[in-house]
Amino acid sequence: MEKSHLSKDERMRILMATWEFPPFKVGGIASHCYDLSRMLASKGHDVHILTYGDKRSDESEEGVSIHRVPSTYAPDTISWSMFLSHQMEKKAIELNKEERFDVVHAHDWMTVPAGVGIKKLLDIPMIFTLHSTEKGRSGIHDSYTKMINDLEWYGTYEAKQIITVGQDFYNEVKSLFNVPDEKIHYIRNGVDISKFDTNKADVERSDYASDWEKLILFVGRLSHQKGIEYLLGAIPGVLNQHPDTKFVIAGGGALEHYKSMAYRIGIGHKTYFTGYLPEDSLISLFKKADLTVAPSIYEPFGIVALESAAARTATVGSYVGGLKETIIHENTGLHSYPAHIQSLCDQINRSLWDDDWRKWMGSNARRMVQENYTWDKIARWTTGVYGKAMELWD
Amino acid sequence: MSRELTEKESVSEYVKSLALFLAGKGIEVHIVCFSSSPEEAKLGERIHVHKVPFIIHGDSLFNWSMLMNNELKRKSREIFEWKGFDIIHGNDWITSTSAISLAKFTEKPLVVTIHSTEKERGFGTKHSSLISDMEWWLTYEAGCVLSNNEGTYSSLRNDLQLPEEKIKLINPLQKGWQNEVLDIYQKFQNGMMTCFNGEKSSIEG
Repeated sequence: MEKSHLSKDERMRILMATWEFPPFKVGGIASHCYDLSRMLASKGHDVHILTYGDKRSDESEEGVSIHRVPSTYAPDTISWSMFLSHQMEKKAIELNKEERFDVVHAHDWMTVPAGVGIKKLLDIPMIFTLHSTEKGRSGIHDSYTKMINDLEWYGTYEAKQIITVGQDFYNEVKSLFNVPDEKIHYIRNGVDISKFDTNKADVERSDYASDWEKLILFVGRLSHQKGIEYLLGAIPGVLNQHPDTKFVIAGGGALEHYKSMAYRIGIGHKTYFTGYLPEDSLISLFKKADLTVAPSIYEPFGIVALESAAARTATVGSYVGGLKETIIHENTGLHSYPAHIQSLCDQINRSLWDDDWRKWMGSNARRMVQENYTWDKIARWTTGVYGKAMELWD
Repeated sequence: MSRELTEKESVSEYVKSLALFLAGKGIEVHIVCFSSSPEEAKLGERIHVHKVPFIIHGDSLFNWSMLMNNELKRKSREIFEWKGFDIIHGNDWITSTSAISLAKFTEKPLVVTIHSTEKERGFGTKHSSLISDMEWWLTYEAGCVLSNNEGTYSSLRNDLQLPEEKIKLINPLQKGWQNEVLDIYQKFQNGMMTCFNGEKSSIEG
């Protein structure tokens, strides 16, 4: 990435807090922070990442300074993140002594305690990006999920500016936490298409499907939120019309639960659960797939459809949240009704009937990503939000 | 720094008694603590009480305290920028994160009183291990750790593995105990790293 030069006045010193950062990846936040921080650094900003690590370390990669701090044994994720946040805060104080930060940018509820603590101690504005909400992920049904919901509210309350990653999600956050209009922004997620063009890994298609089989790919955490049970429910109907089809299900989570569900339904031989796959293997799989499916019932952004698009592969996805934007129906893919087995089955079948149409949608999808979802644009919008927060802080 | 400042609560009484003594010696004292409503008050000449509210109840004392400490940090930083201070005195694990972060931020010495350890309290909650970790961090970062009784002293030595020279047993039931605390403050002002053995650990130059 080519480095630009900013004047001293334009250059920002940015502290970004995220609980996951590559190579440690669980969800989409790690990739988001990785791509955003690299792009911000390439524009000449001084970017520091505070994140979890098994042990303390300070690294530098493509102009981004990465500081990893450990947590400790904890009985649950909330208290684990509280402890981690304190370690992050101590590191932030140390770094701030070298040169004062302009902003602290926290990602999701797990770094809210750190973001707020740093804001209050260093007296700098906090920006808070929500990637999803607890209400959407699992619902608020006990004191634990309520505490996470409270932390999300606390982040929106303490932040000078808030970023949401989807248009629908913007409205969800605004109404759920009563956020005033002037405080909240929608900045879409992005994809680094160069990764798809230069990817060296080359998984063998034959390891996943026979030559004569169509390969349909699901990528994501195996959880209710991702709608995996609706996909499994739709597979017999697809096989009925397209028997030479293999479903490759890539991702960690409740692997054994969904594997046994597939065998119970009688589609075990037509499904391949890969478990967690590294990013370069996933990119290779996206390129080799005939179709991607994203049957989520809650999806604030829907990065999978964009990654698939970057690989020129069309997606059938639920008409929900961010997938409403990242799939253009009958142009870059097809929409199905969320949590609706028959609808999902029909749309997969439709796309499989016409190879040329499906490939045409894949090409359109790639163009859509190139034009609208580049990190260059996202980084510019994000620094605009930082600037607004700094202006309001002064 | 204290969790609260109420009537007939042992840590509150300890803090008040020490503050009144210090004020009597002409020293300015700021007490920063939690309260359900904000309040700026004076406990007497030269004693400023800053009560800060925090609105999230939390699902546990541990999680509540970790968040509430952000308010203690904010208020303490404002006092530091407004008037400055020479010594930070934290009380118990519940002020850990604010006391530690403030000491690092201001580069002022940290004195800590451990009124009891989690081990002494029975290690009875699911967060006990974390609380004990916070106690360890607080005593690790402090220049001097005060204990009020033999039991806590012993727990600090054996459970938290504190070196002997870092702990000072000062019984607040004995007359003149506040003078001993003031002595420690003064040692810090004179550049001593730990409570005792000043000759061994004084800052070079």
